[in-house]
Amino acid sequence: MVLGMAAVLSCSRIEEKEFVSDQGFASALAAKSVNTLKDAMPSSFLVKLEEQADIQELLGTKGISGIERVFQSTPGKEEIEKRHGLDRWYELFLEDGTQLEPVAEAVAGFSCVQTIEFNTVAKRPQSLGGAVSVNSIAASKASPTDFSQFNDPQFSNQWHYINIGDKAICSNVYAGGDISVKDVWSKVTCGDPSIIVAVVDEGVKYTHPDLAANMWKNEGEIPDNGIDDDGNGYIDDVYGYNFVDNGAISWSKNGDVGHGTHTAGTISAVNNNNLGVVGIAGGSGKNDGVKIMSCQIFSGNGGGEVAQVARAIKYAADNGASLISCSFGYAAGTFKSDGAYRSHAGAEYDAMLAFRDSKNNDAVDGGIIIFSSGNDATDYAGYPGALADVISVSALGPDFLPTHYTCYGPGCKIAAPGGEGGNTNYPVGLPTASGGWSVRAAVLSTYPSELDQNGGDYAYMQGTSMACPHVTGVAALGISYALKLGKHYSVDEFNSMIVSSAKDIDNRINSKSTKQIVFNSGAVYQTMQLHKYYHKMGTGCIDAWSLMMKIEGTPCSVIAIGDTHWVDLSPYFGTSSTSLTYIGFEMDDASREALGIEEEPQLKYGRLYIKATKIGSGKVTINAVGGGSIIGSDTTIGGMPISREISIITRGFASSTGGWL
Amino acid sequence: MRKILYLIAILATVLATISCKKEKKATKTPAIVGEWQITDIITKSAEFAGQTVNIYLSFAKDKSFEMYQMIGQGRYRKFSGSWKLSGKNLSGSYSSGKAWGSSYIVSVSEDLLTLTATEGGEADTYEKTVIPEEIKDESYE
Repeated sequence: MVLGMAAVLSCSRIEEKEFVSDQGFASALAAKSVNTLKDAMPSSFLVKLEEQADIQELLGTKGISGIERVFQSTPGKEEIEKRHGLDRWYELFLEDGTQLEPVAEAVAGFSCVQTIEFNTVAKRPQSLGGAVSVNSIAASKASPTDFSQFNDPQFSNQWHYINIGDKAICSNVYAGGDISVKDVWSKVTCGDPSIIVAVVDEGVKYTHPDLAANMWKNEGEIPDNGIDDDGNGYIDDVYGYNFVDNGAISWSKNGDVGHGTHTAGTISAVNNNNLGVVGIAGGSGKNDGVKIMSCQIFSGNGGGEVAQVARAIKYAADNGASLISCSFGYAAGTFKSDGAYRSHAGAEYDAMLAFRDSKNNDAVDGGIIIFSSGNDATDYAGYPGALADVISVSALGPDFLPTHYTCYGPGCKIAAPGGEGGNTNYPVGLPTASGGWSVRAAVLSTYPSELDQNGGDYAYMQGTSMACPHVTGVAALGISYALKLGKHYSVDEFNSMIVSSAKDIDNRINSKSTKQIVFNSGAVYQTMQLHKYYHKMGTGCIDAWSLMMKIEGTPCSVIAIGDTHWVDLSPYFGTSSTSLTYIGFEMDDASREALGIEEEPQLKYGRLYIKATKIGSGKVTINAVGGGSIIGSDTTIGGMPISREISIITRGFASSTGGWL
Repeated sequence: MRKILYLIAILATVLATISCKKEKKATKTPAIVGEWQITDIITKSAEFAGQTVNIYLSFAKDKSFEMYQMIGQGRYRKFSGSWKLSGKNLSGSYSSGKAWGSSYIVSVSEDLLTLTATEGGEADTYEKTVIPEEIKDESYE
């Protein structure tokens, strides 16, 4: 024990003789670096020190011009920072003209250095083909009665919220192929302004007329005075922060595509303001929408570095965000297991763990992390979304079928509308009745007018980037409603409820199912075979109503004593419950005794088979995989572990309808 | 004359009978018709430990029924269908066509309705009520 402590505390240059002789310092770098020089920024790299080590020892290293903590320490957050090692991450800056690898090799030689991470920039936003101005599209002919809930004039073009089967969207549109949010707005909740959603993305145009009222505002900061008024370590961070340029949030630099403003609008564009579009948790027009915090990690053609992403996520945690919406990621296939990703993106993952542990509302005791699954059309998701403890979102079109670009399979936890409309930059999409691809089959949201071809504030975009904020918005509604009811959940419980609140899409897919995609303005069609997506779009399409009902509480299942009966699991795991992979159940002795369980219950055919001999009530916890057949691990890519507790009442009789009589 | 008296007697009897029948029909509205809320559940072997059962029943004269139930937690769920009373035996089916889980022996005393299941003997007591509009409006089917 004493020897171990001594080893941890010392921070000195390791002599070359300590290594296998023919490998030298290079082997130290190989042993300590979690990634490679591929896509690495040449001017800096990150190190994580051993516990209680002192960074001062690295100061004299040749080629290093400066050292900064990757994460600023936030008062009151020290315990979480320490728990996840955020206090031990440093960014080392190189002198001009210095080669990265030799300096990294030298630093790796210090025993106090636990990990070296190159500042890679492989991540990218996950939308396809840019945006199409709403001003260039013919107005919707949808019945206004279907969209009378809010007076926002473009609401009727947002099929992704209420899909009435309008064939002007595309010829194979599917009525009901949406997120079932209409009744939530009218009967349950439209949001809560105390809930903050961090959009980790390009900068959000916080002056947008349909977003401004729902932007989070750091009241302790005076805008544009060049001073860190609230002492949180960031100057002029009023609506969030630009972690790329270390300054004001931007959205219209050369290279920006309006991505952050678009995803923000899906979550919380201001509702019922007689303007533009509707946001899922954008309120009812009474200043009751959830708030958007802009954590900018892309700027123009730059950004996406590990350090920037990590800082942005910690900022969200420290400044009150309950959810982060992350429509970006590494290309699918870059990593093939949770372990491979974790060991590559150490600082980023540590920041995610800290966010997960940061309780910023009274309903959920930590942060909810939602990523897009990727647009690579591969049969596995891209990381970080593919991590087992992260919700990743695949994309559906208005035909309520998988889109041609979406990732599917292991690592994909749930699906949502991402759109499938073509445009001149990307002439691929669902067909219209009159031929050609449909622009309106994409997702409509807010957009920076500075980037719009017609100077408009709204545009269509598509991608898993657009699917991701649909789940974020629904989750934000869920937290809003849980707050209203005074409910409280752990992060795992809330994640389980989100992932199990899904509508089945597999019932539309069989071995011969196909769909047609139009290429090049209708000149070429491609037939997509759909059977490969069967059971691979996570648990199905996010269902906002289902999540709200789970938050209200799922009623008991009633069964009769005597014979073996099966319990329908769809109220607990969604309408695709019969096709989920279940990994077991737990039933305590008290419940077994109360129900008179003499034969072991069984999970089969997606149901719980149980034989009770006594009248009473008991509980069973059922464990399943949210997306896929195995849970992701150090060595595999897979789904998320989800658990739901079922309450059972036994009587002398029971109706198969679930009715009491 | 005797014949006329005889015919009058018969006519009077028929009229009286019809009148009686009418009177009988007028008082035949089953006592279960109305709105009820569950107040007590007595099983033969145990209580429903730890779970709250909220049931509202509405039996209509046209032999239709509506039921709003919340078992444990969550939102009220609405069921509907038809009922049939034969003597004291109450049976019924849901709108899906499926029969109730049991038929019941009915007992009505003032504002209390007791339904004793013929399957297992569970006796549920309901008291007369007016089902809150809020429960009707916010229920789901």
